[in-house]
Amino acid sequence: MAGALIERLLIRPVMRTGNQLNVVIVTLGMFLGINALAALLFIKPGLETPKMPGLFPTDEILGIEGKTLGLALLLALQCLVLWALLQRTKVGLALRGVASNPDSAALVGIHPGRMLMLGWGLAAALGAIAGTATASTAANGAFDTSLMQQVLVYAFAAAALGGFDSLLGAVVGGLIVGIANSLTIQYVDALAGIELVLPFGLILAVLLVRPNGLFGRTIVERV
Amino acid sequence: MSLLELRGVTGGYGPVSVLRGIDLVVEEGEVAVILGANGAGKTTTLRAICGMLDDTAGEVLFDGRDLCGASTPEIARAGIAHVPQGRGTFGDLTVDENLRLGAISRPDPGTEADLARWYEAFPRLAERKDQAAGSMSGGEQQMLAIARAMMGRPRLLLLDEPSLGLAPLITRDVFERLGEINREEGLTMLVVEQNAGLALEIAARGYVLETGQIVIGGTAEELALDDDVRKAYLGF
Repeated sequence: MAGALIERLLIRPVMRTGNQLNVVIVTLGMFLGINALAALLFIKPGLETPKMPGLFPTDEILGIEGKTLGLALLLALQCLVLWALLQRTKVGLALRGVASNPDSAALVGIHPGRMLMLGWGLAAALGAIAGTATASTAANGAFDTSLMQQVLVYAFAAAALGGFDSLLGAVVGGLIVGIANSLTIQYVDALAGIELVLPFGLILAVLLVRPNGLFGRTIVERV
Repeated sequence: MSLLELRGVTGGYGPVSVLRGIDLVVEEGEVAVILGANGAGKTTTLRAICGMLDDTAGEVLFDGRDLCGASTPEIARAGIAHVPQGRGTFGDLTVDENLRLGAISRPDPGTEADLARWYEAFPRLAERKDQAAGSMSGGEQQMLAIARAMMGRPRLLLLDEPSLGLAPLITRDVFERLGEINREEGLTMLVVEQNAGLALEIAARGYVLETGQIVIGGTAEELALDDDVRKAYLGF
């Protein structure tokens, strides 16, 4: 709901300027603003920060840590639901129609604005799930306003790697970034303490070598 | 009552006004054609009917109801299908998805039957059912755009330069198919076309547009015999 509202009130006027970079700046601004607001509301001196209860079992199942297994299942479920929604329902078809060609979508009777609101709503819902999952698996289990800052960097690296307009790319990119990160922390001592070099390096490399990502569409303008 | 009647329609893009008062009628069941030079306002006239301009004034009477000021999706749902210039296919979606999108605004029953019907009418589309629409040839995409419009069961079909970028033989094929659909379905069409000779063959009525105004209007025969039209658009 909040996501849909944000699309309507903030994103749409900015989209009219025709520059997609403006939208990125606005969302970044909102991220920082809402974070600061949360700190103002929930973190007071002398007050213990609220703790997030663990969502997943802490014991090991089949030799895998409970939270790892839980996150993997959550990811699989999200992918399945999203795929079914986009590929198997009329609403999903309409959403993809708007993404593909907004003018033609309007000409077959779809309201592009409503679909964009729905898209932002979906994105916000997925974001909320991701935020809850991150908070509940964070090492100290405490709310922290800097919680998502690292996640944001990793997510951006994953999206850049997979291609910004590809769902499959997002998942594959995320897995690659995650595995690469674990491996470097484990085996490359030189990066100890500066692990964030990896995602930034990946972003840079992808943008240099393959700006559309692994699965992204190459946009070709026919004249 | 005419199916479509424009009265004093003006409009344009932002501060630039293109249409300077368009008056025209299209009767139920006929094909009407709009001829005119580049920049005369042909495409803009079709966009005005579909509510795709920033500001449109005047009356756009569709079946007696004034659609001026309505949104594009509302107008589509009222029964006006528009095949835009450049065909407007959903390039990265499959042919099948394109056709299903054409029927997305109407109730479900009948969609499958219509799908089968248009695949039968355009066998090339059936062959390429699961192929991305953008990977097909221009002629195939034009057929797809027409079939997609028909999936919505429109009462009026607007076509913007269906011959654009097509080889002469394929253009002829497209117009033959349009003529067939008009005769068999009794579907009313308003066609904007540079290829005046072909368009007048299937049309009952024609208009000539110059700098945002209708300067000549009449039956297709009258237009084909008009000296000015012949010199300017038919080349003899």
